[in-house]
Amino acid sequence: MARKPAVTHGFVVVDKPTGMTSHDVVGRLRRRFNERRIGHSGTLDPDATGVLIVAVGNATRLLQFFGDLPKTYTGEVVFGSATSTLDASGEVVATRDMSALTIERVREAARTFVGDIMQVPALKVDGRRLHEIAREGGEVERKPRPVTVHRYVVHGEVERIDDNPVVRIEVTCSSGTYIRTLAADLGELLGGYAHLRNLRRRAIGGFIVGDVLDETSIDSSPLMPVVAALARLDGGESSFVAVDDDRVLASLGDVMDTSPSRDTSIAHGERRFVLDSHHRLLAVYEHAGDAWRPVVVMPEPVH
Amino acid sequence: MVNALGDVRTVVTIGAYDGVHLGHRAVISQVRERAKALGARSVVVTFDRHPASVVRPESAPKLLTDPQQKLELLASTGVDATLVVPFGESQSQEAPRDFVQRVLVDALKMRAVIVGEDFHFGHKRGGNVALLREMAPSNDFEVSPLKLVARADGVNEAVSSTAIRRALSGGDVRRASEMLGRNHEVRGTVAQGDKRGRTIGFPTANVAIDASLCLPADGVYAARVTVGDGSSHPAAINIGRRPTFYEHAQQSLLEAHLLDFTGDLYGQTLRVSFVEFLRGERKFSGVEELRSQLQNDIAQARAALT
Repeated sequence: MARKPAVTHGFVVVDKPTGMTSHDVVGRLRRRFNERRIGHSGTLDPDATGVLIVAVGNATRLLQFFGDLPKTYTGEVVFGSATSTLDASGEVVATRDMSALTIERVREAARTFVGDIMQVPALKVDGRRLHEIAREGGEVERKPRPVTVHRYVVHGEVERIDDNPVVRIEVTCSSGTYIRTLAADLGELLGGYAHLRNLRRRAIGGFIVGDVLDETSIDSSPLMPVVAALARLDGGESSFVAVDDDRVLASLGDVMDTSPSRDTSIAHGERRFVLDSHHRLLAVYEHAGDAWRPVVVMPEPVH
Repeated sequence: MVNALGDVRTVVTIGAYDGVHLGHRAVISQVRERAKALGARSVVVTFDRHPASVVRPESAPKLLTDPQQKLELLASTGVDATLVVPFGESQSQEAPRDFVQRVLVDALKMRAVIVGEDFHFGHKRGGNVALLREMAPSNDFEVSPLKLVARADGVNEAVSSTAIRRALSGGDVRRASEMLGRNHEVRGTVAQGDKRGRTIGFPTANVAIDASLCLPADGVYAARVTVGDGSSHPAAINIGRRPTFYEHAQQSLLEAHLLDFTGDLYGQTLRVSFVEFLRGERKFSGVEELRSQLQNDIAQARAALT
């Protein structure tokens, strides 16, 4: 039996609960929308909660534009103990008395991580997630790589464990930054140890969730039309062009040469979302120095 | 506009000053310091509307502050005076040199001007620091560069009205507050609603917000609302198109449910000060589900505001 053509295209901003993998969320949404093509942006560890941007149907072709968005996390740094996984899921491997630590010193130390820094990453190794390898006690060689911390706010002390402070933090950073590494490094900089707990991704770019987990979002979060989601990509300043000229429409997907005019006001990599006269997305073009090149051409116009 | 401050000389900064955010406040404190050193008055020269709304109305940014709010906030910085220049079609055509002569030199007797190196003003952005430097010797004023101060709060993001608008467009009112140095506030009059909220046990005030103002993204927020008598109340705010009841409504609406408040708000001007984002918009399968979610929203708003 031929599969029915998909009628559902769009994005869902989901608040992932603990205990689910990002893939579990995808499975749930496959059933909700009766659609096989579901993808998501930015995997979250099973223990972590917060924003996953999920694309449905033809919107999966557009996920690439969501990958590089800055991300905002909240979490709690538990001072005084290091764990094998750098978060609360691992075993405590070292402890130190840090009971004299003040919030002012934590703030001062946090500031030194703001800006472009080198971070030892936690990545997939041999196709396996690092947190799995770490849980099995494996050693992983990790090379430092550049990340950017835009914002590292220390909100305040949450509680004390064994007289050591537990501090709530909020970090906005480039894609690929590891928050538990930031937490562990913060402990080290302050002359002791620390690990991360209660990691929550508050935002991917302009897609945000509240501080409190929304348990029902997988089933109730509305399907956001493709064009509405794209409009929020660039802080509400995404560039759309509407096209109703038949000749232009016929050449959709071709490279559009702009070299005769040499418009220097257009930066390399600048992006235009091409809409038809009904405000439906047709294609996405990026400027490559002298021409607009198609990055995505939609198989059918989509709202 | 002759002799706006009598014979007193002035130290001036010029700009849209939308939001009067922490970056603006840092500039103003430099203006005040310089004015003190020179025995002059400190003056902010701003416009009665965003220059872009005249020059490029189609892409004019939504305002972070209405004109009245902007004046109140500027007054709170301790600046001696604010000069509001009407910015109409004719001003947008005025040669930058004429603007400097007419407003800054003749009317304000400017002794010093403090602006950033990338500052532009006047017709086709033709006015810049180079022009000010050229006019300085013959008109007896100095051009002081802006000292950029590193932020001490663990944030590496330049504070700008644009960055604040971006944070608001994603609903991140917490981040907007960090850059504003206060909560984002909008003001509007309570319009007669359809009393739908009352029928399900959650009376709300529909607050009409001028379309020129910047609202956070659609969703539910914890906020403090100041009512007509000046008292402040915790509130749950819904901004949205109300998908359950009005499938095709276009304009975003602001509905305020004030906690611990009974009384008629119709016709009053409310000041809504956004504290936290609580959740995004969603569809509800029925009134019961909506009611239980609203109960949850109110509990969360209360927690966020205490």
